[in-house]
Amino acid sequence: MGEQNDQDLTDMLRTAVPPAAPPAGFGVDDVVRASKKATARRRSAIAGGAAAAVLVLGGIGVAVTVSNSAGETATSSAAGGAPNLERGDAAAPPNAAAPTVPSDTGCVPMQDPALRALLDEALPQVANAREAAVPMVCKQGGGREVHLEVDDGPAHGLLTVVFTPAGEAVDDGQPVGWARAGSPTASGGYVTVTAVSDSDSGAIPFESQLAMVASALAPRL
Amino acid sequence: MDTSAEQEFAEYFDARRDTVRRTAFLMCGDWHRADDHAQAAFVALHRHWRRIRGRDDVRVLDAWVRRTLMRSVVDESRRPWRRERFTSEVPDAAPARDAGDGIATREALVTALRSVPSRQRAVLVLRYFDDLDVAATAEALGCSEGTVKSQTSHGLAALRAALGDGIDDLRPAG
Repeated sequence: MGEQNDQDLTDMLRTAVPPAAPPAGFGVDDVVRASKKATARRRSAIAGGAAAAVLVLGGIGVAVTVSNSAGETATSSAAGGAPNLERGDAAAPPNAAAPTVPSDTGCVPMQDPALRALLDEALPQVANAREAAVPMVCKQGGGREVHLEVDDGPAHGLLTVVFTPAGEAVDDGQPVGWARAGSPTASGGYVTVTAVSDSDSGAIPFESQLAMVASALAPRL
Repeated sequence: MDTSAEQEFAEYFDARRDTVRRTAFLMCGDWHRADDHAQAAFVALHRHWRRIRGRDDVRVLDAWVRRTLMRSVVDESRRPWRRERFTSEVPDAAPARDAGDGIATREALVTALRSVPSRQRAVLVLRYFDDLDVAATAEALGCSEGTVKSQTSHGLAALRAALGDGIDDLRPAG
């Protein structure tokens, strides 16, 4: 009986697609063009990340020197999630040259190179992670995103960072099996960092570090 | 990529585009979004073509594209502003009671499929549309064969529940 039902469903699903599908909205030229663009973005992000890492190391050196000479301890901007830029150049965003304003086109850069560079700084373990395949999404208000296929020891899955500009609605739902942290950003927007496991029973990658990552990104966005 | 590799990719693209689009359509029920997902999968394939094509087995390519496509669709369904929300109410799904009305039947099935949770829907589409066995489905979804079996059971139950009494009218005659 069950096998008969399964066969019925197979037949039904075969009929679920119209024989004449509408013309495809893309051709091989579109694919090649998008591929080359994505590759260029990735290379740019890697170069930006390397430059940012150099600046971070330099900034830390300067900060340590200043701190020691002044006899005070640097505070963490993560504690309050607020920008901590008043300490001077040493605490300035190392990736300040990269664009950090939301897209105003309404079309979200699904793999935003500048946001990726900031993420790589906040969570260096994902610096070599592969970009997940995601389609372009256009929505009101724009925004910026990064989607990565990540490994965290035995746990593997998808790590997503979404920056929502000020004034746009933020979904704060918490589905079962996911972990998410979020924080208001310096520009008045909101950043969420979400991780989901690839398998149904596996651990969620970087689950314990999501709040730290959100707090690190918030002052930069 | 060199010209030869580009040509190989173009041939594979031409041969598989419609199949991938149809699978994506069954997953999301919308041709525009299906095109987005299919294109994303082919873009990813193009970026890794040299490494993947080196295995010289079209089944490897098919499996890679299928896995990328499914990940794209399932991940998108979970994205904050497009996350699918499941309710206890079955949508006005199975209005197709006339077995001779093929279009209405398809609409009823696609609507019913959309009410099935995304991972379970992926299993159903791969197993019963793409005719993959349990092992190939597990590989495509990056999960265990046991998970595929349980998701199949849950998915079939969800699909039958969504179709309701209309399932008898949808069965092929004969």
